[in-house]
Amino acid sequence: MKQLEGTEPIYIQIGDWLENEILSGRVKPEEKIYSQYKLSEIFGINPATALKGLNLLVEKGIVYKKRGLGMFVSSEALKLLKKERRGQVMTEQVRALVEEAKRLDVPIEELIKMIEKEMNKGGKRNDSMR
Amino acid sequence: MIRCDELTKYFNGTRALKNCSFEITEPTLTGVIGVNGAGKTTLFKSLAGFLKPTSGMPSLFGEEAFQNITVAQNVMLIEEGMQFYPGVSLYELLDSYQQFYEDFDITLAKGLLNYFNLPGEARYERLSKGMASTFRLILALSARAAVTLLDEPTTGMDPSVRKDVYELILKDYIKAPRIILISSHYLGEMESILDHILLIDEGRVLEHGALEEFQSLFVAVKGSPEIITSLEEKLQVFEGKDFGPGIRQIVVKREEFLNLHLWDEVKESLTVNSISPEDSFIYLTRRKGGGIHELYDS
Repeated sequence: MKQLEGTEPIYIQIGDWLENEILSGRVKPEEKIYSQYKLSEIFGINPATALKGLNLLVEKGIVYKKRGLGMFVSSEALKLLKKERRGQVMTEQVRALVEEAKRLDVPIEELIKMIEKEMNKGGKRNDSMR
Repeated sequence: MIRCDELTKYFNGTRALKNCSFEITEPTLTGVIGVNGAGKTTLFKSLAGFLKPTSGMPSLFGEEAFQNITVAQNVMLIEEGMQFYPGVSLYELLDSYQQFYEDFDITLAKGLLNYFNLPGEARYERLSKGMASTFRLILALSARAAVTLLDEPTTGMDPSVRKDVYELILKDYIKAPRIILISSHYLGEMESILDHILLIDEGRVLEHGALEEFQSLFVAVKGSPEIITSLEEKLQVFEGKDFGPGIRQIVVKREEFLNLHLWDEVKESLTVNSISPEDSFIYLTRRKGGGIHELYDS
């Protein structure tokens, strides 16, 4: 059974985990996503809680319901998720990074060089992210 | 299917339950939370029809609960003090309960006895505290009663067994959805399998709602002592803690905090975290008089 950590409500953690499953490609667009009962089994949580987590994704348009068949990843899922992550998560990380750089007196040119170095390490992966 | 309307119960002049009102109409795994003596067991016994209310009769499936055979056939209550017919084996006890409960799953019961290493030929009176708890739980789950009341089901069990127990309850609930109420004064270990919480304090129903509502009741706000102290003047503070000279943290109600409509600059300097249902429960039921910190810091 997978462990859930953190102080966020369980259904939000489930939502995050599902989004990561989609972003990582482990569940692809138009594929069926984990059902509330499967999630209940994986995490040892109440299926109603699991459903709440799934519905978070339905609200965002990342997942949709097919009558009688279950929940599927929408074709726009990746586009929506990347846009959202760029807006929220990346902005947060950039802010934290800049704050730390200021604290340590790292000049902007050096910071940019550090970022470039890290991005170039990826090699082929960089192109696919464009 | 369960309806309580101002349920009140007096015991020798003490009010064990005061105007309890709530309703449950769908299958659920609800945690009935409260400190020792809050009234949980009295509530369960009243719902099962064993105790006559002083006022406000609970109704199950539209029938009055007290000494009602229809209710009795559809309710299963287990609690630590319950008695069983003496001198018979566990197998015989299972058999007799199978006669009473229409949907009793005897195969499941025997399988569970095996899984938990409980010898079917043993006598209930000879079992250790933990094993007796396990047997009562096996009985309760196998009965597959429409309303299943588990009063402190993990009493006396080893920690490793307790984990299994919650997993088992969840599995059985999914297999046979019904109304299951689990009472405990320790929410932490069973939180994840619940969908609702019923909070009892001093005989009253303090809160009844979805698990997530509990998680959003309180927040811990951390920031510089100056800002935090200024917030303390405007909010009801449930706990205040100093993390060294630069940081102070307070626990407040989320709604109150949001209603302050703080400026963005102020908001950005603060760290806001959710509070687990376990801690929410503690803050809601803690007696007034300050926390331990005040005791030691003054």
